[in-house]
Amino acid sequence: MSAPEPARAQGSVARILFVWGWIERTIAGLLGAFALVIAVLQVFGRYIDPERAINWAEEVIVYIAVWAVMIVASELVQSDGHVRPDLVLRLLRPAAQRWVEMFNCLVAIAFTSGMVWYGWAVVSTAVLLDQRSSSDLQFPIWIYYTALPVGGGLMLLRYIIRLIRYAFLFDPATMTVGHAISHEAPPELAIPVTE
Amino acid sequence: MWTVGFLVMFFGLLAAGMPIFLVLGTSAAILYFVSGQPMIGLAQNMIDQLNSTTLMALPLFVMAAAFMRRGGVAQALVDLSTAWLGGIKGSLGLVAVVSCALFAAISGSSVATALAMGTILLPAMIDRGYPRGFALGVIGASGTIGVVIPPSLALILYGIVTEQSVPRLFLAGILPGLLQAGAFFVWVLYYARRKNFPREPAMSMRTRLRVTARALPAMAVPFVVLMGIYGGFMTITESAALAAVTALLVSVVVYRGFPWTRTLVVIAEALRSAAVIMLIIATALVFGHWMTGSGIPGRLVDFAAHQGFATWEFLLAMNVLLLIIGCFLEVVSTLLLVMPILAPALVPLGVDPVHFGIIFTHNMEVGLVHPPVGLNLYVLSTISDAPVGEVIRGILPFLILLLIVLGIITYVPELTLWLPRMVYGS
Repeated sequence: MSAPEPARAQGSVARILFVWGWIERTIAGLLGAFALVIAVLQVFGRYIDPERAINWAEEVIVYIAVWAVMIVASELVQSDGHVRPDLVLRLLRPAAQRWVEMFNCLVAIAFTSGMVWYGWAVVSTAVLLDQRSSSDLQFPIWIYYTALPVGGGLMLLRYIIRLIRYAFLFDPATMTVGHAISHEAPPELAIPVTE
Repeated sequence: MWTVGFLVMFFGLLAAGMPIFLVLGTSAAILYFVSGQPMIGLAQNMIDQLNSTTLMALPLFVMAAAFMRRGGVAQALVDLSTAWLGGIKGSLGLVAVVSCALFAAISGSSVATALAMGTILLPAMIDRGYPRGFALGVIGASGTIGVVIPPSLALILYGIVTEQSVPRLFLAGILPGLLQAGAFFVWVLYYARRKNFPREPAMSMRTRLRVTARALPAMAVPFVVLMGIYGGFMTITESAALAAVTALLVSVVVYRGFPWTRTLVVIAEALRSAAVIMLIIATALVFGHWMTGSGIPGRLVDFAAHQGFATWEFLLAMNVLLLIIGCFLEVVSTLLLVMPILAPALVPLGVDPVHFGIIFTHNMEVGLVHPPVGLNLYVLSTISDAPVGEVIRGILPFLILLLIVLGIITYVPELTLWLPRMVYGS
């Protein structure tokens, strides 16, 4: 007999969340590897063929790394990876923790909405004025700026999901401090503590 | 009046367990709102603050640390220290101090050190009958050596915020780092004798040399970084990239810590760690930007100048202030919060900014291991499943040693400044 409806629904949601996180981590990994390659090309290129050596590597590394950071920041919401002092939270009973976490989610939703809204305004201004970087590359800066609303938007979705979980699907055994949400992930994906 | 309200809100959000970047970001947003500045300025500022090439050394160094952590480097260093220290009573404790100092020098991150060394040494020490509290204490405290021994992420950030030369700061960190490692070493030696901790079997000279040779490639990373920077071949960011590539090659080819196919996964993992810090940096710099614009730092300098503070009084006050802030805020946030305000005040008050950089980073080390938000405490509690309270009790003697070393660093500036002056002149 198949699993009851709600369980199956939760299973597919979990799968979507898993794939979503995997995509974010993979994009970040690819961007990071790309940044490394460019940096090495610049350093060695300078000695091997100074004539054609690139001088915009560091600038491009900034764009790539910031995009990677903004994308992976959303995955950090899902896995509860953003550094936070949880000592006071640990002293609270699960029911109280739940309310505090919901409050945190609401503030986060407000802030990340701001990142999307005002980030978008920053992007449109840059497009309007056709702002370029000052290097030889003349890089259209709006592409870099777009990382802000995109990162904010991804985090916004994650915080909405987090809020829904705390509001309607609260499970004191796994969703209170000391039982991080990340522990629900398969063990081979166990994510180490943040630096 | 509303300053009090603001502080209550600020610490209230922290106490609620809100991520640091959100606390700083929300506070900045409220400050912008109250002072009538447009919110778009905040967004613009946030993304522009990240547009810094020096800042990019950070994700690259974190990548190097991640390769190192996965790549069997930690094990090679532990083997190296065990080979030479095995015969001494309490040798695993000494091994922890020495290999943490070495790993910290290589990875540049205190938390990475606690993580890498904790996962290897903690089970080994508990197996050999060391009290868990002591094992947690020595690993957690020794991990902090990474904050001052170059290449250090904290010193890079300090250099960015205060516009000081990073190579100079790196040199300044070496002797204080060694002093701290020495103090820990002597304490473990003494404590092990008193508690009669076990010793490991001594190894033959042939084995020692073999183990040493195996650990040499691990040392290639700090070598590349220091050669690149002090040889004048590369910028900090380029040397960070090269350190990451070297670490990758050493880990995959020499130690076979993980297969090539895992490289992307490890990079992604490193970027997750870097993202945590960089989001905090972005929001903290916006917060700091508002601070600078508000004229508070200038008033602080005026105030200090009018009070006729002696340099030593100023330094004492700063240490107390930083230790208090360290109780509430995590390392990077403290740096980014306080330095924009303090930096302009240093020279008028007769403090060398390089010297202050080391005082500051040492303060941060203390902050890493003292409650309630010492990050190393949580890292260790997470990997050992020990309650945070047990980690805190274990770390207490080391915390006292750290404070003594802090006093020496603060009031003997020559300890810090001698090396950079010898290399670069004053």
